[in-house]
Amino acid sequence: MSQVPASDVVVQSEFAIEVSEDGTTWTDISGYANSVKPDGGERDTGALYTFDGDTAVVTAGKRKPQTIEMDIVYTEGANDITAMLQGWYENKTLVYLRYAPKGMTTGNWQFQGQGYVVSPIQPEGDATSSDAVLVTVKFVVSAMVQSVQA
Amino acid sequence: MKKEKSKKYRVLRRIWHSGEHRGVEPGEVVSLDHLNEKKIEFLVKSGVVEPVAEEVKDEPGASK
Repeated sequence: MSQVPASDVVVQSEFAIEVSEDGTTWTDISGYANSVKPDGGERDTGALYTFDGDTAVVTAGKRKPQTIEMDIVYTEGANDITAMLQGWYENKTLVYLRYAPKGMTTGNWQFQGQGYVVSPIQPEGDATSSDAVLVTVKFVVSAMVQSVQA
Repeated sequence: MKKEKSKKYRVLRRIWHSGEHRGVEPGEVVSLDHLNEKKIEFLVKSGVVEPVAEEVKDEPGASK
């Protein structure tokens, strides 16, 4: 197979990330988010041996939940993302999260899930750094579903 | 007698319907009235949806 056309390549820095409480009204947090890292979602498997043969009979089961970890720029405004995420964590609010590597535009892919903020939103510091303070937030969702925006 | 045309599209790949705020699985027929013609054309060209035969609806109260 020939090399991927440059026009098809997606640049990491173009992600758009949005959150919502109702799945209808979305808050764009791309201007605060620094990174997004999905994890988990592995499908359980079974492995059973029979008296004949040398290898297992492998079967597929359910999928594990997913964790989406994001680094967010820490700010202290009452209506800022930091306060909103902390509120969701404290109140066990069921929320939606979605991100689109090429941006929120018709025809682009998006990955969306519904779940909870499971980590406290607390900043960490480094005396040698001049960078903005970040907070790490972890969402746990049943699954991040891929779809095309339409 | 005035008639209203309703364009429908069959979903070929899972979409997030931003007009109805829900995920739609392949096979379902939906309206894309919230999108302009250019965007719909792009989705058709990309193999995300395909047009289905147009339905013609009588307006309420119209004679048959």
